[in-house]
Amino acid sequence: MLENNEYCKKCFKCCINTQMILTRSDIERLVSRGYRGFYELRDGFYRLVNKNGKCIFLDESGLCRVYPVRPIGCRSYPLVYDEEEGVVLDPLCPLSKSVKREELAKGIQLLEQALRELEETYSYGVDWELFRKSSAKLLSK
Amino acid sequence: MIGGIAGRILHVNLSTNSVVVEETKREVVEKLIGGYGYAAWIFYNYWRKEGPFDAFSGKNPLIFMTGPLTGVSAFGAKACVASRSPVTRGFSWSVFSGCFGVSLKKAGFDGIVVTGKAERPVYIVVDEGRIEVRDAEHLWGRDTFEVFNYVQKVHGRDFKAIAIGPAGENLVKMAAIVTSERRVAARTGLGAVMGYKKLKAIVVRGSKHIKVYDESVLAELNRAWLTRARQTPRGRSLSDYGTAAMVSIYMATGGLPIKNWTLYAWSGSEKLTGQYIMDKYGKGPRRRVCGEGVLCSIACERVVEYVDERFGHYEGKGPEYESIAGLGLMTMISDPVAVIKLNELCDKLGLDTISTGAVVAWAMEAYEKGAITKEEAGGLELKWGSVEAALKLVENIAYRRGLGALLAEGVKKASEVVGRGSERYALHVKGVEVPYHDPRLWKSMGLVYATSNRGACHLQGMTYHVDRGALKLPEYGIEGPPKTSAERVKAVIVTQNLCAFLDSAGLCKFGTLGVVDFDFVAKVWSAATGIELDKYGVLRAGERIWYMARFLNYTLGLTNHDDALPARFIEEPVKEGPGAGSVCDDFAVMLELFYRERGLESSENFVKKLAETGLLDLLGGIGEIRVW
Repeated sequence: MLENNEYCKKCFKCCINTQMILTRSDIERLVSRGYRGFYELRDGFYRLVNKNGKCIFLDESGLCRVYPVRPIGCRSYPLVYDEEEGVVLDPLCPLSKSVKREELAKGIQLLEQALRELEETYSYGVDWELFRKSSAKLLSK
Repeated sequence: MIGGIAGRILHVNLSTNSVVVEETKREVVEKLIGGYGYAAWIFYNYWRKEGPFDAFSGKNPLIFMTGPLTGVSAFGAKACVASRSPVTRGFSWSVFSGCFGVSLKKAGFDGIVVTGKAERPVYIVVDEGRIEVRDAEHLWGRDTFEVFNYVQKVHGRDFKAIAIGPAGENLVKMAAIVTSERRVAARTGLGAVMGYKKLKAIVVRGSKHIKVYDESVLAELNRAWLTRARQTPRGRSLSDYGTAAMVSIYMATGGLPIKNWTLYAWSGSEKLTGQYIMDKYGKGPRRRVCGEGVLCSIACERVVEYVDERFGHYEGKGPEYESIAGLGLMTMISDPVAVIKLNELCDKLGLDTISTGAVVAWAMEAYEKGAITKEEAGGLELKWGSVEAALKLVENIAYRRGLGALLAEGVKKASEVVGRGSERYALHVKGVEVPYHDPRLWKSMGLVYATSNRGACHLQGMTYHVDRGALKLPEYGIEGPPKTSAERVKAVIVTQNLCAFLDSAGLCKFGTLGVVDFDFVAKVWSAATGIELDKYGVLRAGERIWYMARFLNYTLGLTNHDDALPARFIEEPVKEGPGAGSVCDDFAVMLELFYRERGLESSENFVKKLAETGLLDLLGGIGEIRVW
């Protein structure tokens, strides 16, 4: 949700040892742009492959090689869904404390779409009641 | 004065029944040549005044346009139709040959722009300078052959026509516009735009002399060109077997799209080669040019004849490569008579054979995999190779009956509705079904298909000939098959630009690429029009047209996300036959390089390109551009 953020261009903490889950449409989109061998089945989900401990798509200069077509989970980050807490900002991200309200609203929409795709791809059950309450809480802060 | 053009463009509004005649503008011809380049400019002016509008809207102009070389130079047989496509939802065009374009120009018009929407079916008559919109109630529902018979009987033999069939009337997304010589403006569903306007046909008679800049020089060049074409291997091959010669070529190299792109080798393909069809069904004199008086020494059209207990007697056009591949190889129908019949049926109903073949093959694969059941298919057994199923489906598509109503939307939409994993084998780019030159073998074709501004198309950069070593363009530094991704990208950009020029000038690619060099083409252009161009000028003009189409697509809401190649070409190698095991493995690299070269990676760089090519000046102000 932090589209083209200047700080992000210097930091790739979220790309180190990534566990990012890919939806079917993420995989189809990236394959149709010619990328191969970037996903593998780990712990029941298709996830981004790590190379030398970093996301396979991270280039030498620390930028994402597939930025415009990157997975939807990467796009909604640092907003993540925790099965216990619901929608939260990942404290690992140095920007998680300074996200603006408009960005947050946009991010929640993206995350909702990501979760719907996740449900469709993996028959994963999302607690939408929790999703609604926790996102309302985040927005009211 | 510019030579080769009539100097006037006709605007007909079917809602208000009004006609406006506009001058053909010199600065637009200088920059965008004619054909779909000029049509893009006309489209933009309508968009600026009346946009946004959808493909199915009275405001969407349906533009028929000739090029300055249409009807005046050798191989100048082409005209085009352009509009907003209901399939890609971007700006699109389809190029066709035959006499329609020539007659239109001889009637005094470089193009006809049709806007509005008639309340009841109509057809337009352009008789020399006179324009008339006539009632077509009695023609609605008729197939294209019936329309052409009617035109001949009622108007006379010297009238040339284009028409839609039932498919266009029923807004089928693969509906084509057919000419009276059975040449087809097939791709991207522009027949449906015509059907939406309730315009059944346009009928033209023209006999005026078209003035060119230097008559004697052009006559000399034309003579040399016609002789030369018959002496080149490309010209001779096309002359002997038509484009159908490609079947046996790809049998040797691999790359035939058999069984919805899952096999390269199949015994059935032997009966679908151009050689087999001509030896068995060829009818003397066996070949035909695409229209009376067209200056062509290749004559790529085959004439065939058969007597068959199922289909009776037939004499007429034989199928071209794309039609054989779509209706025969893709569906595994090895019976050449059935393929000729299916091709005839598509022309009658007004369907694109590439897309129709692809959607039938997709349905057969879905049936095999259980994604479409027998009940859903209306009791039809959609088995590979079933002639009965294919004939029925083609008809059902045109009339939107049963499963045909879904297939009429094209493989993209149909697979989204059916789901069950069928999206994987729905092969399209921007919703347009992929034509039959395999990008796993001819890797640069992956880039051509994905980045084509009108969706998957082999004619917007014909690098399958470059990749297989049959086309060299030494005048632009392409000396042989490209070996690296960077060389492929260069070949794609050069041929994209050249194809844009040829389509817009009104030239046939068969008579040009691999036949003459572009120094020669530039000389012909200059002699005909009086506008000086050399081979670099030709390339720059083509480039400008390419950017114009790209600009319109961005303006209409398409983005780089739409440049996607079907996953089957990237992840699923064919297991058997020559060429087995290949995939389009450097597509990601090519695409990145391509964006950098073309300046498409960011909106700022794209606008810079518009300025460099001189388009920004021509267009005046432009709105916000979003490339991603």
